[in-house]
Amino acid sequence: MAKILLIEDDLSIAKLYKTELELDGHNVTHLENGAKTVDTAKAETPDIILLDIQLPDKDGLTILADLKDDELTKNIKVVMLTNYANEENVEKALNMGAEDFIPKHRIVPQELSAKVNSMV
Amino acid sequence: MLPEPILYFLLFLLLFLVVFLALFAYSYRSKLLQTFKNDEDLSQDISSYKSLYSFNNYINQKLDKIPSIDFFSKSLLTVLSAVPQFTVSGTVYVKDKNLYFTVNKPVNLPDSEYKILVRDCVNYFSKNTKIDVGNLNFLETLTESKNTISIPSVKGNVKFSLQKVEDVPVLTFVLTSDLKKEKDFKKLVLLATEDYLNLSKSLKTFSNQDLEFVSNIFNSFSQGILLVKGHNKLIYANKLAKDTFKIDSYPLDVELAFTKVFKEDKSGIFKTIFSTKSKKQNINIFDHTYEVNSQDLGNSILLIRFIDITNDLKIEKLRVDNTNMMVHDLRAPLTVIKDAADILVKRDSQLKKSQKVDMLEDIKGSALSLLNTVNNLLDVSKIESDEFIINKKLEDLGKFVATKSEHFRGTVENRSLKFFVKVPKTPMYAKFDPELMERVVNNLISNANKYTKKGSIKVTLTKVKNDAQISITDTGLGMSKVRKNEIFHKFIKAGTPVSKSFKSTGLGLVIAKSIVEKHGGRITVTSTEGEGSTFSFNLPLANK
Repeated sequence: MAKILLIEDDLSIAKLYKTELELDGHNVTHLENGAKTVDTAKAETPDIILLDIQLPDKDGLTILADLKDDELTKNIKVVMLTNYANEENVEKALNMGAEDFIPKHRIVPQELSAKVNSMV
Repeated sequence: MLPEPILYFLLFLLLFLVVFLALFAYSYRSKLLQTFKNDEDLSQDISSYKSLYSFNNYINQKLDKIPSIDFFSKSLLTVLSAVPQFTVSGTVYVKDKNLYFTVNKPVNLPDSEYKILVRDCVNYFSKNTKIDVGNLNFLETLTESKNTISIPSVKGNVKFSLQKVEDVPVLTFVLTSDLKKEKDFKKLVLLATEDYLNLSKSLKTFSNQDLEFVSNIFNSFSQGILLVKGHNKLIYANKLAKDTFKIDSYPLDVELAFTKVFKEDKSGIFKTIFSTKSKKQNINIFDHTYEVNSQDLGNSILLIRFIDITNDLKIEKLRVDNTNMMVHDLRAPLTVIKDAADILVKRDSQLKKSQKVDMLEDIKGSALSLLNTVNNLLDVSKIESDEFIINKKLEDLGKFVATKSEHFRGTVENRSLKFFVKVPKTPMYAKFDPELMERVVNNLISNANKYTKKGSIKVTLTKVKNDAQISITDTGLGMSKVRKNEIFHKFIKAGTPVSKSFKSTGLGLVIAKSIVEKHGGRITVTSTEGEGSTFSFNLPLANK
């Protein structure tokens, strides 16, 4: 069981991911946009952050940089959620210290939880 | 050896002759151009060139040091090749006991014919000078760049020769075997070069009419054209190039001119352009991107062409963005359907009933949103095709706008927004397709609703000249200038709707715009970011 922070603006997707992960026994906190990510991460110290790369208010890569910049959050594993294959951004994210990435359109929720379980 | 005063007198005479010839050629060129095949002109011209060579003969006799022969022969050659009739010209000289023979290759003459031409010239030369040139196999070594051949067997004294050779108009030979005093010789070469420059410059102008014709063509180009001679001397710029680089006169020093125009860049742009010789490259100048193409034309003239591709790049970016946006709009709901179905199947026993219902609702919502996007896409492609049919009917626009707007009152007022509909009391007739026009009105009002959090939405109908004008004004998010210009393009959304429950495909305005335009109207938007927007469209009024 892990503590997971999910940042995803598509509410339907977020709900599905949350349901799936919770059924696997994880504790999921969901944020609809990116602004409060770092603060929430500091307060809740999650094991894994699932971070959408494309958010309406803040770029996922910027948030990743902020997380990796902060002593308190830099060791939290971050998995990027991508929508359409933007390989350039994925590579950037990995170079910036992201653990992995999940193409939302290509995997089913079960694969997501499998990935999370393997990281715990 | 002649006494010195006579030598100088002769030299003076020769220089005078050069100047005379230059003037002669200059004043004569318009006539030359008009009467290309006039025998009299030709013979006169030949005689003038004969004089030029007898002048060379003097030098030959009087100077006593061997000068730079290549330089001299080349400069004289260029003088001659600049005169229209002299499509063929050549030089002959002796150096290190070898006879060197050059025939300039006329433009557009195939290599095979060029070799025949040279053979004829050598034969002719051999016949007239009694020089045995032996077999002519050495001609095979000729190429366009290496057009001077060495003839190994030189016997006896070579004489000057200048005559018409069969169909080849004129072949000129210069023998410089005994040229000696380099210093004096250089002076002559300088004069000859100057003569050449003047002559070629005047020849370049052709007639004024020709010049105007050519220049009109170049000026109508959407490409900028610069001709640069030598290191950095601009000799021609078409209108676009002049406007772009703020050039008002030439010849000028291009590097200096560029430095003047691009102060912040010094001569960087100039150097970049010149480093692109015979290559293609994109260069940013001010806010524009140019594709610059340089080409070496030979004779140390560089042709630089440039095209403003700023808009092309913008359109390309828009195309990529649109494709991404469309992929997103189609893929996002599909992802939800896929994931929800997956959980419903695999976690059936673990899910509560309410969770299952919720997921089924999500599947339904996503399917509807997908359908909506696909329908809109089909509509756009239909509207963009010529087969799109509109069924116009004569109707009172006032009544129409009022009725259709009122449908929204409940929705808008439920969100605590004020809703005003103002139409004139007297009927206002126009011919339009009611079904299509309803889509336009619906789209504009529902957009206003999507992007307005508080305040009001106002629908008005007024008469502007011979048109009816329908305006929908909101106190919503408004748009930036950039966004405003793009808003009627496919998949561009005005921003994020004020509530997540509002879905948008970014196609509604494209459809609305097409419908209005098919009716002979125009749709416009005025907007201030943070204060609101007004979308207006015009329709031509009709008499009942």
